[in-house]
Amino acid sequence: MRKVSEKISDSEILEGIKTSRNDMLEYVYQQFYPMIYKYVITNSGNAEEARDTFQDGIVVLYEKSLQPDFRLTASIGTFLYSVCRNLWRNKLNRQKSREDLQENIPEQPEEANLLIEEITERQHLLRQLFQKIGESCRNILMKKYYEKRKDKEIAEELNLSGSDYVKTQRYRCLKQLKKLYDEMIN
Amino acid sequence: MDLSDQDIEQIERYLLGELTDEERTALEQRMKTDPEFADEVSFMRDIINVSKQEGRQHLREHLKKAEQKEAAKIEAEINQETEAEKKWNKTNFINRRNWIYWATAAAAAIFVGLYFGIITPSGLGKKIYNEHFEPYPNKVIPSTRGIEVPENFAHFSQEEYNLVVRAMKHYQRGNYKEASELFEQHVNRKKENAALIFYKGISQLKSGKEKQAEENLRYILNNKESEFRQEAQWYMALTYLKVNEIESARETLKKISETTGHPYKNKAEKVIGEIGKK
Repeated sequence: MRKVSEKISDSEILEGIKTSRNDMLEYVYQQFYPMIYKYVITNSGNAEEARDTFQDGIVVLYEKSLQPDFRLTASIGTFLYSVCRNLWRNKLNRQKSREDLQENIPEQPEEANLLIEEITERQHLLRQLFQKIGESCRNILMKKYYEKRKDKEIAEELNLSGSDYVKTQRYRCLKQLKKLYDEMIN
Repeated sequence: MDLSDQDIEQIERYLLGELTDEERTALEQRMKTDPEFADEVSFMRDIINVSKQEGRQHLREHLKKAEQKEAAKIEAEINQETEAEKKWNKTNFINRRNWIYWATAAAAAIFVGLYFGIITPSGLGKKIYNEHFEPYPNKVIPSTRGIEVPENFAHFSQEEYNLVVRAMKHYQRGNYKEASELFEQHVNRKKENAALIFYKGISQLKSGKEKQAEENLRYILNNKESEFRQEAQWYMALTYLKVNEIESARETLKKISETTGHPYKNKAEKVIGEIGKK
């Protein structure tokens, strides 16, 4: 068990989120969820909304941390708090403007825009096909395109023999997806 | 159209923004003249987007697991705290509103008591106790939330430790009854718990369990290594005063006043003066 004396640094926390280490995610909840929960429930939200806001906040933190120009200028706690506050205010504003039947929906903050998923018909089909290409393929594609890992890192994390192997495997997966897709629409 | 690995690589690097200006211009030129190739690029863009969606969902699933394990616990704790604060504010409000009434009544009662000689020395111990009791500050439990069991409490499980933390929070808020109950359930009389037993004793003293308080404070006093020995001695004297065992109190206070450098030396001397000569 971790002791208090070992202070967990922000970069360790970020790395823990990146690798979805369960103990680190639990630590993140213990450490940062209380203030978000308090904020949301004292601003006309309920527990479920607090949980959703917090989860969105972590997703934003994670995805921002993958951007090459990302620098954590404040502590993770401060960052999360400001992201979650913006997300929650945005949600309240939009709810309010819907109730008031206002035409002009307020502009979204950057954090909220990041989370919008507009899914095309083809993407919808592709997501179904994703379930058919096997876990190894899925992991390679997620690590490459979502987590923005280098081939060498992917090889290490997935215990594969090397970056060249990762690359050829990925191309194989892509071709397989294409083939499945062509079969499906024809 | 079947793409070569080189083509795939080019498209991938194009979509990830990794191509040089020259390569990019060439690829965009090819898209213009070869619609099938352009389709492949657009298909690849969708795959990348879908991979991102999958990745995000994957992360959310992990977060959900942590949430299920932690969120309810944290929420319950905060709700309880907020309730306790509300309650505290409410009682305070009532007290504030009525203080003039109570003060007048008390003054009248004291006057009547003094006049008819009803107030006898039997209430003296309690009076002195009330004047001198101050809760000892929390010096053992770090106040940050959500940290794991510190080394000096390694004999507790995380769950037990959380309860001890909660007991200490009650103690600090002056909810001595709740504090003493939690301490009683989770802090047994053993060496590793010496520091906590001290707070357990004070909580008991404040919630009408003077006998248990005396036993626990005595345990600290007899434990040569305990960091709160001298403090326990003072609170023991207060316990005797509260139950009006003036002679025991005097004896303990005398010991304190005769110990050089005792943190409660001056206070003890003062109280001895107040309870008067035998």
